[in-house]
Amino acid sequence: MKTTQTTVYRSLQSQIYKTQSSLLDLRMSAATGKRINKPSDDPSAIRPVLNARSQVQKSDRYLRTMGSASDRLDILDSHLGQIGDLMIRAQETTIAAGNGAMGPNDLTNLSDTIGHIKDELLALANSKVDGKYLFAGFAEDTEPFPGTDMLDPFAYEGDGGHMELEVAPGERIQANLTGEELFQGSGGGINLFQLLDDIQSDLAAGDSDTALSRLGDLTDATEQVSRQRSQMGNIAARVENAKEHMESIKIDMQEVLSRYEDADLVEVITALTQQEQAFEAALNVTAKVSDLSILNYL
Amino acid sequence: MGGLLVALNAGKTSLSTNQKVIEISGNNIANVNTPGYSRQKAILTPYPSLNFNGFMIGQGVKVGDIVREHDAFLSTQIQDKSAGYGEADAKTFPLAELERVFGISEGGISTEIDSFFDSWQELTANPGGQTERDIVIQRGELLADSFHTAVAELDGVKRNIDESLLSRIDGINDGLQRVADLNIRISTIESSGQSANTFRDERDLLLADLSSSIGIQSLEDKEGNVMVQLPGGQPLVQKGNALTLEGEVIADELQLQVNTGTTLTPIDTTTVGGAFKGLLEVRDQLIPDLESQLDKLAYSLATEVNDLHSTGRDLNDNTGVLFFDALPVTVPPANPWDGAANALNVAISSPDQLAAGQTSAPGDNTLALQIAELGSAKIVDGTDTLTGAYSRISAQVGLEAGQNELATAANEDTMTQLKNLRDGKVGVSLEEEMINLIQYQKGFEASAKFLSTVDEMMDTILTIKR
Repeated sequence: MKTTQTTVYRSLQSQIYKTQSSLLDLRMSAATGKRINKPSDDPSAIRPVLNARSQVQKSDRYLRTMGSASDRLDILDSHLGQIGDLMIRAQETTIAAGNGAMGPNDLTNLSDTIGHIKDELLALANSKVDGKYLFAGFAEDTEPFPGTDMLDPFAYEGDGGHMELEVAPGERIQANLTGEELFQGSGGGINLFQLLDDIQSDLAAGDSDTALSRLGDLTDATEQVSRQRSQMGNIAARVENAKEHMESIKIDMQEVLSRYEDADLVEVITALTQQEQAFEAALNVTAKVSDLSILNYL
Repeated sequence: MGGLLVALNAGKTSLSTNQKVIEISGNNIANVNTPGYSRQKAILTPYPSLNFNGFMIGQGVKVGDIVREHDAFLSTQIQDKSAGYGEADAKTFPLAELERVFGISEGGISTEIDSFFDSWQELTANPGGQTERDIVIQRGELLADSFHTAVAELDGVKRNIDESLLSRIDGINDGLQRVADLNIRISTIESSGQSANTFRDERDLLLADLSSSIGIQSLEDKEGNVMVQLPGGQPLVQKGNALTLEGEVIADELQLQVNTGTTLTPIDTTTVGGAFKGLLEVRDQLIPDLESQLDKLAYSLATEVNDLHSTGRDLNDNTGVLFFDALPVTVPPANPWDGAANALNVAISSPDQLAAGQTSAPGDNTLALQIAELGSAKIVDGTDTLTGAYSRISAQVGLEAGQNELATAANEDTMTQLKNLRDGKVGVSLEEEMINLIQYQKGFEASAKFLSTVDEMMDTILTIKR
């Protein structure tokens, strides 16, 4: 078969186009650092890439949610600490009433002290963080113990909602305590306000025996608070663990993403050099085609 | 003396024949870069010998015919493969556009889906927060926008395809008419026994072009006319008559038809080939399929979010509030999700209307938690997550584009190879022509030498008598 000039140029041209287009692809990979720049680069990797990307974003979100959960739990813990301290002071005050040397005036003083403790406890129960009532359940804009009800001054106005936060896929933690479970002992517990109120009126009436007889309840009430506190402490510890776990999941997912998506730069640049050489060779050959012609010999 | 005169005449034929052959070579060289040109060659035939005193004496040479080098197999192959090349090549551009629309870079639909559900997850940590609520609404709007953009871009690709089809119709009609004209010329010339070389070259080239555009099939009759028809059998050129293609916009979409003079026959992917088939396939099969999947995605998203959202209560204690606009009700046989992507819009405008919980209490995040979970739930057909369904669409486009890339490269290789084969067989090789030049120049020189020899001989005879 004869080879004509057109054949030679056509073949060389098509080769040059091919080399050019693979050069473009390789340069894109090297410039973006990505192996996949458009869906056709690797259709089978699209699902893992998008999944991993959304996992990374979710992990970030879980980490931030856990951050805010930790904040909430920390605040809750310090409040519970103060409440516990108040209950211990109430116990000490009540025990002091058992001292036989106490006169009626002393008992009145003690009664006042219990009254103060009760007020402090109420103030704590109504405490606001970031403009939101801490112990009002979901009704965070409602003062939980406003004391406006004449018949029941310790009525709870919040609701029973437990704020749950998702800290890992499908894993939710409770991030609040409602006023009714903590202070009113809903579900078989002790109503802290009522108990303190009773002791206060006993002492005011000089009836130290009845006041002392409530000491057992008072211990139970203190127990109630510290039990809740330790429960929330456990949750806080769980959040800390989950954080570490989520960090490592995030790193894993980033690795997966990188494996599918990122170009192996060494490989890309090696291939790039190869293609550049091939391109140069093709150009060289093309330039030399016209050097060799029968016309030079005629 | 009579013999010498015959020899003189023979020398004359040789001189002019060699000159003619050199002219043909010159014409070949002139057309070395003419697309579709087939090398022409002279068929040399000796003049019939005459009986001279019992001897058969040759009377010289003449150019019997000028024919083009031709290989029917290669011509047919080129025409056939042009259709495949045209189809793959025409798809390249719209597919590249689609790859961009369903790209996987950050900022696409998949990122917006993730961000939307991320904003709900963010809301769970502070369900009463106005900022968090605003972000959810904004994210919803951005997500809806990304769906609208995709739909608009798909429409844009369709319109571009229509434009591209329309712009090619004139060229095709012109080509068909020229084939018909050439039929007449070739049959007329060849009926007189000559070869219509350049006209045949021109027609072969036109047929290959037409094949690349609309994938025609052709058949040549005894008189040298080619009959041209579409792959579906619709005739386009018969002898000197050509039909025309027409484009008509029906219901916002370009419909292609063959005008047969009395009727309009619509053509679609099954009856056409080449670039038109490729473009129509993308427009009528791939894009509607992608649209439908996109609609389904939007439909699943809107219905699932709305179903949950409407069970909750907003901050004003209203229940039954929809987050996304209710989707248009479709009439069977239309699918319930048809048109959903374009109709996806956030229904609420005020952050107070967002229902984050089952109650209107600002701290209630129960519903936000459930909606955030939709992001990783299998809600599309009950078998796939939203991100998964999107990656399926994207992968489909990727596969299609990847396959087409391979097909284009393969077809390109085939075409190069076939054209090279054709050139090897029928193309002009400068080396060959140069050698011919030398050969026939020598022939010419020898004829001249022969003539001068005969001349001297005549002189010698004439000097016998003084």
